[in-house]
Amino acid sequence: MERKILWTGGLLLLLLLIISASIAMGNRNHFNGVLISPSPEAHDISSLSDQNGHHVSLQDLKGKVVLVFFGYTNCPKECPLTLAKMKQVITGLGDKAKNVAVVMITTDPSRDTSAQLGNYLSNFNPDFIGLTGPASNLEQTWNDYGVTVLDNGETHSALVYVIDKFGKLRLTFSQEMDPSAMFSDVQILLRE
Amino acid sequence: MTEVSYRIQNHSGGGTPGQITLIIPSGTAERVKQGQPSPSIPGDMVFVVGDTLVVKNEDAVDHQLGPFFIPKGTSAAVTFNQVANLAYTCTFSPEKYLGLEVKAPLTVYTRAIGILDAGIPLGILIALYVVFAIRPELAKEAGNK
Repeated sequence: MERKILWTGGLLLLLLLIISASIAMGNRNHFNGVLISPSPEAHDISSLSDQNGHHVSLQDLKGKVVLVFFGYTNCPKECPLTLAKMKQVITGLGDKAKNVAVVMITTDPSRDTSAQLGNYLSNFNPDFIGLTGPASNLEQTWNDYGVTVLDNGETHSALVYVIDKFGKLRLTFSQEMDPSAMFSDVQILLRE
Repeated sequence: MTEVSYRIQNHSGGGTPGQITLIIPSGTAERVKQGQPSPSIPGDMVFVVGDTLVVKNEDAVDHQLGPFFIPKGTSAAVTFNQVANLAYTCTFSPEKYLGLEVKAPLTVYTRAIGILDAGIPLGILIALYVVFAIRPELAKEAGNK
């Protein structure tokens, strides 16, 4: 009789543990950022060039999760804060960081030369890509991503646009998001 | 026990989380340019934690609502994870701002999780008590018979 009670109690505990684990596992693929669906093909950026003068297209970056951000090197607060969060995400990924690309597109081309971009981004991570280009190309890219740029490079958008490994625009991250929340979303996309 | 303790707490919150869809109708950008509001878009919105806001863009241009970038013909969705009072810049409102309030929820899920959170350790304690306290006593009684 006692054995039966023990076995029944043990099985009930196991059942409760399985239920809890299932609930926890069910939350594994929940995105924290703003999910866009159906996910459109991300607008290309190949008309711009990086800090080494090379054109970079999203086709080149297929197979990687790409985090695109619009900012400028003289930005006092939002841009360094966002880049610091990107840096935390990349650091946390360890070996998997090679499957993620961080791209900053300048909103202040008059001051952000290729060299300036390179120096600025190297403070965060030497692998971060800084893009600039002719005004018309930049304006088209800003427009493609819904970015409004003011005269001194400031924008009303401090979003990070998250492009998956297949070139689709999947999510946006707001500047208020925790790096841990961003990290979780990037991990989900890397697992796809 | 957890249900009793929950009811004893003076707990007040919002409703049960769900999905709320906000549609940006076709022609909204044009109306906003002319300073006219879109009739289907509210001035303020109230949610509870756990609510998912889906913004569906049926307009011919991309729109933005705070952290939502909604390309034309797509929807953008986010689940509100914490209580907040937000004022988002908004491209589909003539006022250029939309207020969003997120309140605390009242859900069966959170209550069930609370019961599980208390129940599992309680169950373990009961099992240990049976193994180390009751069982030896029963064995001793059986031996005395």
